[in-house]
Amino acid sequence: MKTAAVLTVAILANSFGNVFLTMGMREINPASAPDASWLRHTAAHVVTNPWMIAGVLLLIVFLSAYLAALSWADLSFVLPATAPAYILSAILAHYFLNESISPLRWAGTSFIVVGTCLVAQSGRSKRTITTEERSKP
Amino acid sequence: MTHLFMLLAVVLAGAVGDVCVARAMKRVGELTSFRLAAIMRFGWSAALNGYLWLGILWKAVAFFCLLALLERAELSWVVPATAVSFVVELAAARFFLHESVNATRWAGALCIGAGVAIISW
Repeated sequence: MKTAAVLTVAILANSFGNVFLTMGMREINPASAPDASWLRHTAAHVVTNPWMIAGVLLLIVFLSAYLAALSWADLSFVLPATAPAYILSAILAHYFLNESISPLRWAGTSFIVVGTCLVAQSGRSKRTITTEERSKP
Repeated sequence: MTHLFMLLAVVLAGAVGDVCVARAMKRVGELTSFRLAAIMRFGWSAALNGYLWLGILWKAVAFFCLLALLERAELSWVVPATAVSFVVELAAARFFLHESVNATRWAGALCIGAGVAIISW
């Protein structure tokens, strides 16, 4: 239960954090070449724009929740469990940023979710943890 | 094409940052007590480690590359595309750290690579 709650917080914070950062970045002038003046401008923007501040705070929440989950659960469980964030990001990008997600992009995103689950599988043979153990603190 | 280069910068700078931070934390050692004094000592010895600051610098580079990418590419492409970092890390683990990587993980990396290719079409 604790694990489910923490991972839900991680997924939501990560997805909304990215949406907020995108909203914040689109409020700056139309994309210019990322040179020294861009860097100064963007660095100032990160600490003054409400969207950017909210985005950074949410990414800090995500990192804390992710690290907390890793402190008691295996990466081979945490990584696939947070993979739905890819799907949620696409949904949020559609509703909040008006991005149209083509069927091809959904297909590619699904491949990536499956791939993430497979990449995480290797650790399991070394140390097996039952579901009950995992859900208990 | 520019987007792919920027994505590569995000992924590589992030990976180098991870390696530096991991190296720093290995040197500092495990945090064994959660008393305030112990946490302060731990933080102080971490702050004295050069690799930690190098790692933070690379992480900052990755963050600003990500912001530049978000400014010009679609979020629904950027987020899944950053999963290519798993492929880079797997290849690094196999070829630089000489870890053994089983077939399931290679299949996963192939799946992610195919997914990134499809969304970048």
